Amino acid sequence: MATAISARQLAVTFPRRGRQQAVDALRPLDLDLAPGRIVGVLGPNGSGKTTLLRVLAGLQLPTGGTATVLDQPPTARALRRRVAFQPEGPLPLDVLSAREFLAYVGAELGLPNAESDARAERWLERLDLRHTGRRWIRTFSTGMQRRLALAAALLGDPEVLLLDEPTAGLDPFGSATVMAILRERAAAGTAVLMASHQLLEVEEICDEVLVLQAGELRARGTLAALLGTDAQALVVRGLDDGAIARLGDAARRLGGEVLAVERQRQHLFALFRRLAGPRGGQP
Amino acid sequence: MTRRSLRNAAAAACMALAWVVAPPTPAVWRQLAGAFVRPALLPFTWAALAEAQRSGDDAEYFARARQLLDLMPTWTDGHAVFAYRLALDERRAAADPTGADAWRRLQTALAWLESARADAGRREVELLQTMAFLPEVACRQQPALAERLAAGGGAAALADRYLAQAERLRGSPEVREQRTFLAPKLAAGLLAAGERAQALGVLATAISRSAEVRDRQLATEWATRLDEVRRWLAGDTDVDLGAVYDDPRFEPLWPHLR
Amino acid sequence: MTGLRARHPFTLTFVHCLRRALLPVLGATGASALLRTATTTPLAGLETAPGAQTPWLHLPLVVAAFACAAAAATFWPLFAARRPGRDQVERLQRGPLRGCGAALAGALLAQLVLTLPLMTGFARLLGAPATAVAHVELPVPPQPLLTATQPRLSFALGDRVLDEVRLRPAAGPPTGPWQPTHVRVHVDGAPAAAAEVTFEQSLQLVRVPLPARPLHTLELEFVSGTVPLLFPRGAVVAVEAGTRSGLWNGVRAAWIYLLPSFVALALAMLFGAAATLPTVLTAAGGLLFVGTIGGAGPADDAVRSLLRGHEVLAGRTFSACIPSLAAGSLAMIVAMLLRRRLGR
Repeated sequence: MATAISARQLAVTFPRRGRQQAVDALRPLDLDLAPGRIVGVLGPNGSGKTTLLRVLAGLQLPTGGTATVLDQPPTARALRRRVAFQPEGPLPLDVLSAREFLAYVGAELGLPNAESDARAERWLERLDLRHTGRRWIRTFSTGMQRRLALAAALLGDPEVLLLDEPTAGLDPFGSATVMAILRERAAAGTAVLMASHQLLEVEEICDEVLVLQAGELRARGTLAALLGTDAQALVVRGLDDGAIARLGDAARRLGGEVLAVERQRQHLFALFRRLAGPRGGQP
Repeated sequence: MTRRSLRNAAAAACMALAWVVAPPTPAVWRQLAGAFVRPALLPFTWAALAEAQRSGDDAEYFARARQLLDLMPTWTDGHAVFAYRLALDERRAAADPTGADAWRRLQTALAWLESARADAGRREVELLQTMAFLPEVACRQQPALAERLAAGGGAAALADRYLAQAERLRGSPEVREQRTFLAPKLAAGLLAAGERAQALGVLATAISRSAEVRDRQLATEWATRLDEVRRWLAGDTDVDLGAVYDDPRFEPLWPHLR
Repeated sequence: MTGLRARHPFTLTFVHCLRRALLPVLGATGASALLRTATTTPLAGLETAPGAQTPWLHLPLVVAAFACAAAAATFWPLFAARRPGRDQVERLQRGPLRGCGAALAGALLAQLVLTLPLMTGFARLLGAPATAVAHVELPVPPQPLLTATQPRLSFALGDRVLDEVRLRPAAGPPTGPWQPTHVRVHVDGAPAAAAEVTFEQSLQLVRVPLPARPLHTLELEFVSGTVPLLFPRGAVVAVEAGTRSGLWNGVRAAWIYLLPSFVALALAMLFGAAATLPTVLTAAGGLLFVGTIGGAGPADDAVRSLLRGHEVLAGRTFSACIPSLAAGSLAMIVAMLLRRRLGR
């Protein structure tokens, strides 16, 4: 299997309804996603990110083109467990506890009860939700709900993850945990397609990005290719200003170009992790 | 103090004042609750009454009628209709040779109307008039009932009692005339019960009240007839009773004038 | 606890509905008992009529139906459009109804669990008899009019062993000077009652005792009178000999009381793809109101029969169940077809 997700001229048009004009939510686009890759979908609100994910999850029929997920149409029943979809927004069945919710998801995915509960405990532990006990989901914070939604998506050990804003509303530690998990899943061969507004996170973990605007694919490729840069940075410590100037001269003599000389700043997240929190040691 | 808290304080003061000036009674609460409940329940209560008439028995029918009137306690005509239906059940008259069942139903119907008086308001007098004539109608339907009532002066005695109450509530000319014109029946009932002196007293009162009858000619005629009867009963056998025998209104007295 | 945890839409909805409805139903039962005592003005001499106690039994039953239906509709996201997490559940669910059928069944089971004690226990407190007797409406002949010109009417008794037959004809305008109509009753060709029965007014109930043996036909013979008698459906009711368990009668009434909820939730399932939750709740509430207190459908009949001590499914209640069952089933089938047609 060369690709986990393949789409050709995939398009979705919402028909005219009453006074509302027809809307091209997704204009014809091609997409290939290989196992083990993480692809970020970027774009402003209403650009078609969620529509793309819903089509690939089999929740929305395309009005044009074709798509296959794991070599099957997205609506295939067999994909329910192999492909996980984490939509944005609050969770359903919000009067259940986290464990009850995961038990329901596990049962619907066809997992044996004992295995489902064991996996649930593992993900609850990993996503820092073990302490929630019998609390209803509706009493969870947004971040807790997002983490539980990810746990539900991961419960079936899927081969493809379709994530809509997986880190929206998460604190930096939660985001870091999610990013680490996604990296692990990708390393294990899971293809991840995630829509996000968190550019730094996309930049941090995605191998490729798609940029959508008004349903149209504006750019696609690796970050390096898209950002169009081959600049490299040499980070030094312990030199005074004269020594720095001489280092610049040496670089020029070697045929390079000095783009900027500036003092390195502390990364905000590193500072935050150092200063704020008992869970700072987590990835 | 903000404007909002001032408004709240003013509202609370108004409430307290209203409570002091017109303290809410259970009747007021009932009336208030009824205003909300009545529109929601009335259609179904009427439907249930119709269904009871169509497929239920008498007990269910009257129980439904009571539920309906519990929702509309001031509807005196409704109370009267159902109480009359309860008391005047012709179907049961044939199977009741002693009149015991009729007597029980009459008592229940009168108790029903009595209980309705509390909510009748300005129409209490009409309700008492309705109660006054129920025993007489029931006696006509079931002669055995008339025999049961005879010892107490008959249906007319009951009627006079209710009319007297009506007169005390509102001494209207209609009520007073009704009592005046009831005199022959009441006197006949008392005579049948062996209360001759009381019967004479009733006739004497009626003669004196005849002057209040608004139709002057009728007043004179009525007083004359009553006086002829009174004199005859008092022992004056020279009285000519021809006109009394010609007047069907005096029919109840005829057996006592021979 | 692994084995006991609810995991299926059926059990999840059942547990949720039970949790949500239990306290309201207990409260409504208490309120019903209190209100009955507080608002009923007893009158010495009037016989008690359990058949008239339906409002007090309806109150907790309606609360159970409303609470379970509302709990199910708010709990299961596919009963209404634009509910949070609808996509997630829709994707997870197998089956053509996407779990709505299981959720509906769970809600109905919860309602049944709450309703059974009311129908068997609370109904007894309200005066429902301990035993039930079958009251069967006899099919009427094509021209059910008894007059001097059409002096005989026959009704098939279907070999039943009967205790009595109840006649309640509607009276027409007299054909001459008013005279009550006398009717002679024959059963299998022999006179049933010692004397003739007499009808003086419309909807007058006359009970005719019958011999305790299997009977084939009932014949009414016009003897005299000027009041024409019309025997529409329900005017001739056969009361079967022998009694049945009142408890079992309550169980049957409880099942029948599920039908309005079944129809309401089935329609919610149908319109839930397009209608939002407030619309679905309002429509379901309206349907429940009409189907229970409003008397459309079999629920009201079942409660009345239970309190009267009539066998619940013997009379017209059974036939009244059919439209409700058909409407609910049709809504479910259409919902299924629509979902299949729309892909998801």
